[in-house]
Amino acid sequence: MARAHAAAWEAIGAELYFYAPSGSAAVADDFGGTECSSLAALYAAAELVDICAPTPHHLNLARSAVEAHRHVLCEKPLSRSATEGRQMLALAAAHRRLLMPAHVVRYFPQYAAAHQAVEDGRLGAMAVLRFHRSGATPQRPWFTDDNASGGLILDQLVHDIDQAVWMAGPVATVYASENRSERSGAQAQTAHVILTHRSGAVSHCRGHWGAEGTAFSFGFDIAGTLGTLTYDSRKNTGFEMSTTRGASPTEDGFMPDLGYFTNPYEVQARDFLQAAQTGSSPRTSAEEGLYAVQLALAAIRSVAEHRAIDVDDEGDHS
Amino acid sequence: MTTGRLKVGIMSFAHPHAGNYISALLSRGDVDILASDPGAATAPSGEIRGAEYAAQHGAPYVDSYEELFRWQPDAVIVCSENAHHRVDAEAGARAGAHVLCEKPLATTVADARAIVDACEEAGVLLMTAFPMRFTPMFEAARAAIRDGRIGEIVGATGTNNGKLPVGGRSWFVDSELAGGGALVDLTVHIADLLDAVLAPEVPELVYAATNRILHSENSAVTNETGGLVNVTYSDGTIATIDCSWSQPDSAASWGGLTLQLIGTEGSIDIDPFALRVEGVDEANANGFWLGYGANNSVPLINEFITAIRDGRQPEPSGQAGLRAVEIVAAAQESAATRSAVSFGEAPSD
Repeated sequence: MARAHAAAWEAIGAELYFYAPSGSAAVADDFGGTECSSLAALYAAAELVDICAPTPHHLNLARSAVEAHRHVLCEKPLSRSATEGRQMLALAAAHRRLLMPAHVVRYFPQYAAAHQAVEDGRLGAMAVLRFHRSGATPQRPWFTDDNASGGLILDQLVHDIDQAVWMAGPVATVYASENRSERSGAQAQTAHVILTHRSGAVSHCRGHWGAEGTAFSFGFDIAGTLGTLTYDSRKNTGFEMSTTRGASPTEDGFMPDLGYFTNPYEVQARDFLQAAQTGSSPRTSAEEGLYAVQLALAAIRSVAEHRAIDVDDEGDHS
Repeated sequence: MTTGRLKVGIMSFAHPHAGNYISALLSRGDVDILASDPGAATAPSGEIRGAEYAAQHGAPYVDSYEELFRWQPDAVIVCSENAHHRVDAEAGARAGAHVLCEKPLATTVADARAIVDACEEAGVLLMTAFPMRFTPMFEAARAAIRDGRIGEIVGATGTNNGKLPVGGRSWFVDSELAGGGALVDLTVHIADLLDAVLAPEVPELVYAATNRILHSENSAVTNETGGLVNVTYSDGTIATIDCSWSQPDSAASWGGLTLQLIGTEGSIDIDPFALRVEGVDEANANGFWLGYGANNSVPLINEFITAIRDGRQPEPSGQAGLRAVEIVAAAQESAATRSAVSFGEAPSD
């Protein structure tokens, strides 16, 4: 994710500093930035901090950043556990720093347009919502280590769980099923999360990490009392090419093809920058990032226990 | 083997598919038909039923089932309200007629099982009318899966979304006659397609979340209008069915059906109603929607008639119809109790 975020910061003219324990020279080179030799050096050089480390490191990095008086943009999911997420919120509040989870899907113009229509009441009351996302199984091993990433549900489906909440509000009950196929040697897993919102609306979120070569795709279908909205990234691309010159080079399938619309990572970076500079509210609050984590954890628990999980007003489940 | 002309009786015009079956039968040229719709007498005014409906579709007509059975049909097609399928199918079986029954086979597991048993005891064939089985896209999907083109199936998402079906037949939203709401009306098509693709795997766990947000202002609607049904199968495959009357009243078409199958080495999306020419219509704000897909009633009827002539089991069978009803019953139980239901634990009434 660091490269997508770095490209966005570069595009809006930020001066970039990088730190990674394993070295960040290559990334720093690619984006004309400076490699720092320590976190302390990074915090000394940079005014804002963007955490793109694996999920289990979010808490400690956020702690040191806010202690260094830096505002923090943190890759989703906000944290691996609700406890860690709460600690992050408390630390940010104690140091009066901004903590913004990078739920970049809120900045994809398709989702933003749909959300605006829903907010404006043009669809009436939300009734039945579906969200889907497919991508190739991430190559970096920590993603497929449940202890580290929380797996498909916490890492990928958290996007669509957040969308469901953004569109249809808080959730009362979470049910989920998951299938990790070990068959035929191919890596493929899928999970379905069904949310019953407090309003009575129901949402279906379908995630998928497929075998190498799986194209990234995403979309939604939203039905309300006054109308429906539908989007599928595989349609209405604005550009289709047919060539006899052999197959086109394959994309890695882990990141979406941003095609011909405004780069959402850039819009996200600008929103964070503005919030950090002016105190405005960013599109996603830390509380909303924590709530999405809590719902994803409820879904993981539902899979393990084969039952529907009730969620209280604070997002907790027992 | 049955040679010569077959006599096929149509029982009831409650389900508007009756007209499709009549024209599919008439187009064959090797069957004689006779229809009866005794329920016409008590049907809501304004709904075209009985002799008038028969005349519109070119079907010879008698007023009662007694007259229909006196004609000694080789087969009957049951198109009555869902709750009447059992009594009508049993009457047909008792009269020695093979039975093609409109979906859902019944409104309860007990009734569906009774229909299957009655046909077995009478020694007649039983087929459930799931027309989506006969779409060429589904056949292509099945063939691709059989050939291993997308590896092993791991998950599926099906959608069957339609307008609130109150236009020509108000019984569709009547609890008693329909047996429920959107869950009953719309789940079975996808459930049957999944059954066909995943056999011999069987459902193990069913969860459903439903609501009545859409059309809540319509006092005639007392059941769920929106629903999501999640099924876990015995091999771990997971599937969700969106069974909602979520197609707005003003939409250009009644609705549609889609099915996405995800495998270990790829995925397939089918959208049988995608075959259409669209455009802007100065006379209609919804625009042109010129569907050109084949009429699925024709291969469905052909399967029924051919199976009778060959003396073999038609597909989808009565058992397939029963399995779909079992999923609906488990989903209804889950929605009522707000908990996942282990398959086989669903009440069989």
